[in-house]
Parts: sequence; C-alpha cells; structure tokens
Amino acid sequence: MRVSSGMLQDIAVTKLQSVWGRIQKLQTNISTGRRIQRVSDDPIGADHVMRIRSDLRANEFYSRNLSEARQWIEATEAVGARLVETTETLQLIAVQVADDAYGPEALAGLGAELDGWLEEAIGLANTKYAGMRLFGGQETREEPFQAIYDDEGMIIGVEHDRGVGDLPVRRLVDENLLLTINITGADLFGENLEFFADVIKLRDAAYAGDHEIARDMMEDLDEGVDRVNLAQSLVGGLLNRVEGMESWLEHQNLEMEAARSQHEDLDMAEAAMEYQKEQAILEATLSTVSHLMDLSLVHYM
Amino acid sequence: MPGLSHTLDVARRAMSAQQATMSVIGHNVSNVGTEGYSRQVANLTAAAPSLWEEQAYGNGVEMAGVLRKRDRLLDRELRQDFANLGRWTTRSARFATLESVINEPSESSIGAAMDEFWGAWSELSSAPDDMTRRATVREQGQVLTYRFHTLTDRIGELSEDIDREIITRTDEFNLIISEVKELNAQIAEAELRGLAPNDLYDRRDVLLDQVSELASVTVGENDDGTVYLRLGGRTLVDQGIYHPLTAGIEHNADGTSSVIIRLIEGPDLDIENGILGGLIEMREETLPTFISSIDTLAATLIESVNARHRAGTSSVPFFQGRDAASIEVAPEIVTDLRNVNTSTSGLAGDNDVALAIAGLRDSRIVASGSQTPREYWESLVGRTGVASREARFQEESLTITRDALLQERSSISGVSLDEEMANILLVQQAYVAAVRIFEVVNDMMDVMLGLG
Repeated sequence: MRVSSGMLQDIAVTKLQSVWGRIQKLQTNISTGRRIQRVSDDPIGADHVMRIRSDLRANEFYSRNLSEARQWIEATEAVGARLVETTETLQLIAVQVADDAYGPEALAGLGAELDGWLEEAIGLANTKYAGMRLFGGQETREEPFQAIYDDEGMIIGVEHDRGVGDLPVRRLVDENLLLTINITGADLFGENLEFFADVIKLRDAAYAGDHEIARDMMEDLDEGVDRVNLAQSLVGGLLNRVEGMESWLEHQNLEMEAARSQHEDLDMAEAAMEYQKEQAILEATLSTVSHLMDLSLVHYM
Repeated sequence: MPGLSHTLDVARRAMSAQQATMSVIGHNVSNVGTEGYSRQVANLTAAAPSLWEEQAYGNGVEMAGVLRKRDRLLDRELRQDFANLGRWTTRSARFATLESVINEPSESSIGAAMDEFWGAWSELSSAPDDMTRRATVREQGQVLTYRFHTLTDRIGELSEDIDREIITRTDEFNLIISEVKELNAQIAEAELRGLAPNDLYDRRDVLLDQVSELASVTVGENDDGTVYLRLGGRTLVDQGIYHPLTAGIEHNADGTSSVIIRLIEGPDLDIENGILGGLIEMREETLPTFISSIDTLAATLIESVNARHRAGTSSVPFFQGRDAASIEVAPEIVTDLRNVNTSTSGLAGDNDVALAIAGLRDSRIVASGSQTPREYWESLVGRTGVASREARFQEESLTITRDALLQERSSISGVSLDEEMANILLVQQAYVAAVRIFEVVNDMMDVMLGLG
C-alpha cells in the first residue's frame, strides 16, 4: 500500500484522539466514582439503578412510617402496662371493700382512692402520643373518653363514641401494605366500657359501705384483668411484627444498596489499572509518532 | 539516418520535459498539507518516432499532460458516509444534551421528585393532622411541578437551538452550492480551452464533501466537466440551473411549529440524511415524541391525584393544568394548607385520601393502565438511553469507516514527500544526462566543423 505523508499524520491524530477520548471517559468515571454517567452508558444497568434508587427512596418513607408506628405501639404498651397495674390494684381494693373488718371511714377512704384510680384510668384512655390520641380510633384530636359528672362533681359514667373509636388507624408500611396499629377502647375497657362501670360500682359500694356488692364483683374484676392482659399480648404481638418488618426493611436496604453499587459504582482498582494502561498506550503512541514524523528522505539529500 | 541536430533536438526535449516534471514535483511538495489536494503526476511519454531510410528513430520524451490522481468511486462512497455520519453525529450530540436534561440516574430527576412526592403523602398519612407534613406535601408537589417545567423548558431551548442551527446550516449549504456553481463555470471554460484544471477539481471536490455532510446530495458529472447536484429529487445546481434552499419555522394552528426547508419559490423538501436531516429528525420526531410522553405522564398525575384529592373534605383539586408545561399546585392548596385533604370523613385520624394518593406510586395508572408512573418514566428514560446509545455507536462505527476511506483516499491522492524526493533525484539525473548529451553532441559538431 502506498503511504502518503499526510496518512501518517492522520493516523497519529486519529489514534491520539481515541486514546484521549478513552482517558477522558475514565477520568470522569474515576472522579465521580460511578461507571454510569448517563443512561446510554449502560441502559440495562441504568434501568436497574433507577429501580433500586426508587425502591430505596420508598423504603426510606416506609421505614419512617414503621418507626413512628413502633413508637405509637410502644406508647400503647406503656399505657397497657399501667392499666394492668390499675386492674390488679382494683382487685386488692375490692378485697378490702369486701372485708367486713373495714368500717365506714376506712371504706370512704377507699372510695376516694377509687375516684383517683378512675380519673387516672380516664386519663390513660385519653393518652396522646405525638399529638394523637392512642385509643380514639380515628378521632385522634379530641378526647375520646369523656367523664360524666353528677351535680356534686362525682364521675358517674364515661362516654365514648364507638362508631369512630373502633375505626382502624392504618399506616403504610410497605408497597400496598397497610398495618392497623391501634388498640380500641373496647379492647381495653370492654365492649360496653365495663371497666369504668366496675370502678364506679366498686367506688359507690365503698362509699355506701356495701361489702356484699364488692364480694359479687370479684369475677367481673378478674375479667377486667384478663381483658387488659389480652390487649397487652395483642400489642406485644404487633410490636414484634413491626420490629420484624423494620429489620427486614433494613436488610432489604442493605441488599439493594449493594446491588445499586454493583451496577452503578466504579471498580476503582480496575479503573486505575485501565487508566495506567491507556497512559502507557498514549506515551507509546506519542513517542512513535514524533519519531516517525521526523523520518524522511528529505533529511538525506 | 538522423543527423546530429536530431539528437540535439531529443536532448532539448528531454531537458524541457524534466523541467516540467520538476515543476509538477514542486507543486506536489508545496501542497503536501493542502486540504483536498490530489497528487499530480507528469505524464511523460515517448515522442512519436521519425522515419529515416525506413528505420524509425525515437524522438525522445514528450509531456502528454499533468494527471490528477483521484478515485471517483471512493469519493462517492465517502460522500455517502459523510451524509450518514453528519446525521448520526448530530443525533448523538443532541441525545447527549437530552440525556443531561433528563438527568437520570440522579436524585434530582422527575423520577426522584415523584418518589419524594408519594413519600410526603405517605408521611402525612402517618400524622394526617400535622400541618408541617401538609406543608411538606405542598412543597414536594411544587418540586415535582418545577422538575416538569425545567424539563419542558430545556427541551424547548434545545428545540430552538436546533431551529437556529437549521437556518445557519441552510445558509452554509447555499454558500457551498453557489461556490460549486462558480467553479462549474470556471471548469467548463478551462475544459473548453483544452486545459485540465486539476486544482479547480480539487477545490470543487472539497466543497462536494462538505455539502454531503450537510445533506445527502446526489452528485453527477456532465461531459463538459461540470457537476450537477440533486436533493430530494430536485435539481439544485446544473448547467444553467441554480436553486438555493430556504429554511423557515412555520407556526401551526395548535401552537406547535414545524421547520420547513424548500427550494426558494419551490416545493418542500424531505431531507433525511446529513446534519440537516439529523437536525430535522430530532426536531420534528424525537423531541415532540419525548415531550408528548412527558405530557401524558403529567396529565395522568394531575388527573389521578386530583380524583383522589377531590374525594376528600375540601373537594378542591391538588394540581391544576393539563400537561408538563402547565402543571402547577392548585392555588387553593398554595394559599391554605387546610385545603390539603387527608380523609373523606374529616376525622383527624382518618388518612384514607393520603393513603390513596401515596398508593398511586404503585398503581398502574399510565399507558392505559399498564404501567405505574415510575415504570412509565423509567421506560421513557430507558428508550431515550437506548436511542442515544445507538446514535453513539453509529457515530463511532461510521467514523471508523470514514477514517478508513480517508486513509484509502490519502493513499491514492496524498503526496508522499519520500516519493517526490526520489523523483527529484531521478529528474535531476535525467536533466543532467540530457545536458551531457547536449554537450557531447556539441563537441561532436565542433569536431565535425573542425574537419572542414
């Protein structure tokens, strides 16, 4: 093949251009730490990366919702624990009220104590967590349990709207997965709020000095303890479930992050090797080109 | 038998032929770096013999002309490649811009903004009564509309850039073909006078290469040395014909615009290749298709979010507008956060509306219910990426072909200094030898005259 003087130069320029092109690309990758700058660099890889990034973003919100749900359930659990104590104390007081050895004054004292417990129980039923009522169903703003007073300021009943109170409080904790996180007033205090009725009945018995009523109430009070314990075990189960979901989500995130990195991140060691190789090629090209360009018959005439 | 004067004549002819060859070599050496220059070769032939006593005696050397080393077929192939390369280089560059506008994979794309928007609703559903979270929903809504606007704005700019370039390139095209027309005239005149205007041919070939890069022009040659140019079945330049192009933007009734290239006072032209073809393709097909997909996505979001939002207590829409350019967060939402609906019942703990909107992330609501918004966006981005990659591959492979063809052309038409130097030595020696013959014959004549 005939080789013209311009050819050598053209080949040199083309080769140098392509080496420079590859070096520039490598350098961009190394400085960003990513092997995909644009989708066209690797459409399939970029597709994976976009999906994973999107799922990671969604998981971030799921895990925030889960963590808030967990805190809600933990708050519920704390209230439940206090209610267990309350029901157990009520049993003890009932034993005292039923005891004939207690005179009217002592019973009046127990009645006052029971009033205190009643108020605390209503307070617990209205507990707020992060500004939301835990046991009001979807009524989270206003107090869901209202004490009814008589003319003398005695609590004679508790009002609660079960139509709203039984509505579920739901949290979005995964793709299309809604988790109901609330325990209703009925779960804790009985279908007809028997708990409050029992306390009021016992208190009235104490004030009235009626040991008999107290003796008859023992079974009802046992039921109250069972009900709260059952609710607590539901809450415990819920908490386990949420914690399990949280750690699963975390595990998923780690795996997805690893997959994202595999698709998107640059293998630095490989890139550095590649870079050195290109550098060697560049140097060799430059040196041969400059040497060849200098060779010509012109110099020998 | 020829006399001594005949030999003197042969030597004289040799001297003048070698001198002419030397001039051709000088011309070649001078133009070693000239673009489009084709190596010229002195076509020396043995002069026709003379007869003496029925014996033919050679008359030495004769200059038959200066030849231009050029492969027409190669030129044709190269021009086709130039046209394809012009198209794909243009596409590849514009796609690169489009991809940087799309900005994926990243945390500041429409895809990310959609995720953040759904996420804000999901967070709001966990505390439906919370004003701060409502504010976040509103802000993420505004970020999303902002991303849509940025995308459409930048594609609009891209399209306007293309319009400007189409007009500039058309001017460039016209300039080139008008020069071809001028050169045609000069070449025809020179040919008529029996001259071979090699350097004019070279210049015209450079122009023909350039014009092919702009659009795939058909080039044909006439007997008088002139060329004719055709584009889209129309003759632009020929003997006595000259039709430049005109490019303009025409606004359509529906608010869109089209770019039209036509002959001045002639019909519209379909230009499919070359830089102009590539630009028109981007402007008239690629970008509008992309924008219409983005519009579909925006319209679906507006419609689906609003349908769920309106079901809530305040019955106001969340978004307004009808496409990617006009999507906005509704003014009722912007001015009063209480208009952000979280539920149908109005209960502080109800979150059915917020959940329904957050759930849109995974609902197949786009492309006649076959894709989620995210899938739709990802497949749009993916298609663009694949098209961009194809453009880059085409550009790369056509560049390789072009470089190979250019090498081949250079191998045939390029000047080799070594070759010219070798020729110089030969010509120099031939010239010196001819002078020697002259001297010797002169001596012989002296001797002969001395005899008398």
